[in-house]
Amino acid sequence: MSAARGARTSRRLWLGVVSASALSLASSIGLGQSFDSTPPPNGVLSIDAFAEPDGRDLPEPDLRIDRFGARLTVFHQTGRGYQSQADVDASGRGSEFVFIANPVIYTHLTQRDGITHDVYLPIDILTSASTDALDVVSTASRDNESFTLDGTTTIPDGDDSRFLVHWGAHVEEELKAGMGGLGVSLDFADDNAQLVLMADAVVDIFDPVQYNGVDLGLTERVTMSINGTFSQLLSETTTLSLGLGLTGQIGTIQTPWNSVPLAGGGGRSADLFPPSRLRSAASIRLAQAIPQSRTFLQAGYRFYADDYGAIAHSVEGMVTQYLSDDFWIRGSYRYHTQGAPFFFMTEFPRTAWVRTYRTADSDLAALDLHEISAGLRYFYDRQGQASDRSGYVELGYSYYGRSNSLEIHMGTLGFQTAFW
Amino acid sequence: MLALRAAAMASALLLLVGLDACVVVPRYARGIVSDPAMQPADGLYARTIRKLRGAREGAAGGDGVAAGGGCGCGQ
Repeated sequence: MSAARGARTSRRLWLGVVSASALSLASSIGLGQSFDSTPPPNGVLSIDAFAEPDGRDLPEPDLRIDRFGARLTVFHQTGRGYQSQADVDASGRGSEFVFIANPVIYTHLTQRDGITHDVYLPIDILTSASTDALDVVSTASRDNESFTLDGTTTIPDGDDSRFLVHWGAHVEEELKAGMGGLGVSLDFADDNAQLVLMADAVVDIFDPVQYNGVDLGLTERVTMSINGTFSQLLSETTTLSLGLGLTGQIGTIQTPWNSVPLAGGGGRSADLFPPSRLRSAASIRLAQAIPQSRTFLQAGYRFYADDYGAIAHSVEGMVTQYLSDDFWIRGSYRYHTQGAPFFFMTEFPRTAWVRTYRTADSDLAALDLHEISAGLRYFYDRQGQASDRSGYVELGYSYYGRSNSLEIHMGTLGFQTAFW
Repeated sequence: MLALRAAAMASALLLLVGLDACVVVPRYARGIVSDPAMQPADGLYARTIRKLRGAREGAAGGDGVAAGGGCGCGQ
């Protein structure tokens, strides 16, 4: 163990500037301890700045970067839906074309006092972001970018429990969001079982720009979630995970620029959802390793229901096969079927009351879908038994096809490296 | 009613797990289950897929993470 750490000494990254930020974070949650925020000599990110020439182990840093990863995923989506006004065809459905590039970076940081931070920074770059919306009136949102900072701070509390603090923000055209949450993670039975409970809140503040370009001013949507995940080792080669979640929403829940064609043609009416929504889901996932053939199997099921009357079932399976110590191939399949909410319609009667709930959003329609994925991963820094600390490069492709014509082709390229 | 149904389902699943909870795998024998192949995806790809499904299926939550946040459409 000591030799392995010594070998990695020259690869450690020291981040003095971030240390100061982490000190502020730790203090702000009332758990700050003695902390040396003095930046390294050059004041910025440096590599090998503190490496000892004789290779001795270094003292624990105030904050270290354990792992860093990045991934680029691109989406090419086509399809047609009644909510879209773009390039409407004879059936009355408009184009849902969109191209999205989604780079994400990730880092896992550890403070000297054992507090860790998992930080994600995803960026969405969309072209034709609102083909079913604003661009019919204006090209102002032809290109759209969004940024998210999403972090979880883990605070140890003894050997078998830890507190979790979820924090983050999201910014994109017409929308700002803040998120926060608290949770606890408990280990049982000599760490053979783990229970994670989280309560989260997300506040979205956005301009409800209508299908005809009318801006009604700021509005908001508040989402509260309670989630629990229970994981259990069933044997040396088998794990089981259970998930249960409740999500409540209040405020402007509909996508404001979506609309429903009026019956008989010649006009549209903006989507209108009930002012609240309660959703629940339960999931189960089983993973089985077959050491003799170096094969790993996973199977899962998920049930979803909400108070709009929509019920969904999802089943999925995955096979991962090591072809050598450093290389695996993976394939997966997922089937999802869902019902529509009680107010889904493809045309809005002209005689209906104006406050009648309505949507023609194809995402909420009754549908079936198939999701097929394949991927390759090469471990370039396995360091013995592969673990979440192993460095790798991964390439993948996924097909996502719905019964109501929407299709998405996804390509992804990612890597992870460990410094500690 | 919805919450009761979900709670009943969770209780049944926990009971099922409880039947096997007496199995204790010693730490030295957990090498295989810590292999990343036992996980459905790394954190980066998992959140990307979760965002996609939450947006295109309007059915997020219940997988241990918060739902909502950002437009995503189909919320």
